[in-house]
Amino acid sequence: MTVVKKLVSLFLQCIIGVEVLILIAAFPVLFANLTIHIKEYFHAILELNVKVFTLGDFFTADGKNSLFPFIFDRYFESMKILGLGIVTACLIAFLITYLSLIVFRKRLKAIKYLLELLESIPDLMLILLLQMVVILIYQKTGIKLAQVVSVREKAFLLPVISVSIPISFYITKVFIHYIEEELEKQYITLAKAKGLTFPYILNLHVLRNIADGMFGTSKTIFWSMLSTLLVVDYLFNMNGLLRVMLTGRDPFIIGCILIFVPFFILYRIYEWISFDNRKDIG
Amino acid sequence: MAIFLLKRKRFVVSVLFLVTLFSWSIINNGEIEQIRFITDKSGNLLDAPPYPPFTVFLLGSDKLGYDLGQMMIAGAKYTIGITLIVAILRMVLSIILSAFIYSLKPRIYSVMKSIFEPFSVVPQTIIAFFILVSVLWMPIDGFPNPFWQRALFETAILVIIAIPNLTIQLSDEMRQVEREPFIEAAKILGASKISIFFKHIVPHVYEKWILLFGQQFIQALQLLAHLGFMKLFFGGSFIAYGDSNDPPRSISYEWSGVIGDSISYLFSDQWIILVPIIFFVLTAISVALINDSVKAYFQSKANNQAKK
Repeated sequence: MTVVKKLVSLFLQCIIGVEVLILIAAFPVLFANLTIHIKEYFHAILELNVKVFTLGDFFTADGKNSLFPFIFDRYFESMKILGLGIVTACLIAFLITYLSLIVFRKRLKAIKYLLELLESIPDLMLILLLQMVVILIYQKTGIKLAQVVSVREKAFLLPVISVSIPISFYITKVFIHYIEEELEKQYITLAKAKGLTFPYILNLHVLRNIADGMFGTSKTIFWSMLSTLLVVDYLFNMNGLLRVMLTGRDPFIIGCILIFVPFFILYRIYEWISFDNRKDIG
Repeated sequence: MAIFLLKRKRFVVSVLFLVTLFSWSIINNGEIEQIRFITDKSGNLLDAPPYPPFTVFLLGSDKLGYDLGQMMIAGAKYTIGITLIVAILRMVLSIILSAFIYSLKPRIYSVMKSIFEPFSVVPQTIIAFFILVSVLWMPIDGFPNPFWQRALFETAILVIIAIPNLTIQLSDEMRQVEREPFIEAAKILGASKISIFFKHIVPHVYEKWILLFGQQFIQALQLLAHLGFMKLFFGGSFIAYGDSNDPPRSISYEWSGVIGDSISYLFSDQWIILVPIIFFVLTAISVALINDSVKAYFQSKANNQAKK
């Protein structure tokens, strides 16, 4: 019975989310020419609602071609880059964290300070600098490290790196923070007293215990990666989902739903699972 | 507090940097020197724009021979000013909203949360761009509205799109404080809701507000940079319709606009784009440093209290 109740509430929440997205999508109508058109706004909301819930015809920006097979193609392409970006960012974060915790333990304060600074730099600037460095190396030495712009060949390596680097500093910061917090707990002292080595404690005990907390920050990570992806789409001339979304109202609402619904469901399911887990243990 | 902060070099340097840049930009008359080309006495062309840095101007010039350094200073008041206003408004409005929301019943609160959910999944840049593009992109027969209306509208949108997330974050913190035992004690002693909020909850969360303000500043700066990069400049993008293939121009010399203007020089004359980037990065870093120092101050205060 509780499962049915949960599913109904999930469904309702999903509908609320989509409804809010529709309100946003119709928003430019309300302020067309910076005067308020309430009547037209409600009309646009109604129209969009009918369209979304009856799965009506959606068109691309030119208003002729149907949106549907085309946008899924873009969607999977963008998600591929995003997924690879998340994996790369986690790898970079792991590498920095392990290096700083195991090798440079004494300079941890300086490293944290540096991370704080790097994290505050707008991602756009980091990406532009990265691209500039690749171009400069090509001009000076003739070695092409990666495809810089998609013209005929698709740029792939550099977009993935660009998406992952700005966020990896944030992940590292959070990661180090959680690990430090965990290291102060009593069971670590016990483990040390038993003569276990530091890497062993880190890998086996600390990592398992902070996994849950790390997952909690994944929403922020995902959110800011998406906005980085938009810039990357523009800069590398990639024509990804996020760029297509900005061409018109139909692509915008469909893109928002495509992004929102899967992640929303994923998070809710995770929340139930983890909460039930904790309840069992407690 | 002032003494602690003044002792930290990082704090002093960053505050000085921001204040000088901002006040210099306001005092400055906004004229930008232009050198079309350099000739020798007999009239032979020696050099033509864009000039690299350290030759004609300290920071180089753009393709029309305008001094980039002066451009940056003229733009500073817009970029820093707008970001500051947006960040302050975001904080104030969210604090007011969260003060009303935090004490709602859990059921209503969770409905509230799910209404605000889409804002934490769909990035701000996309929503902002989508809403603003119809207003800020110049139609073929010129802008129908004056500059200040467009600027006001943009500021309002930049503020509003961050409020849902921020409000939830703030009221979550307040709810956490509300669960503490001393709130219960205050309630039993007959404290009203208002006095609980001001006397017991605010002292526990206001330090976080100050730190969040710095974060919001950086976030707003980044949002502005993204919008400028996508050729949506503050107050509107002028587009030269017709024969000329000029890229969209920004009205003010706002930094993100300069980046958006000159994005095509990434491959040849890198400094045109590097100069605004450096200014952006320096501003972001100074704010981060200030935030860091304030955080250190709060930590040392907490340590002192623990010792007592």
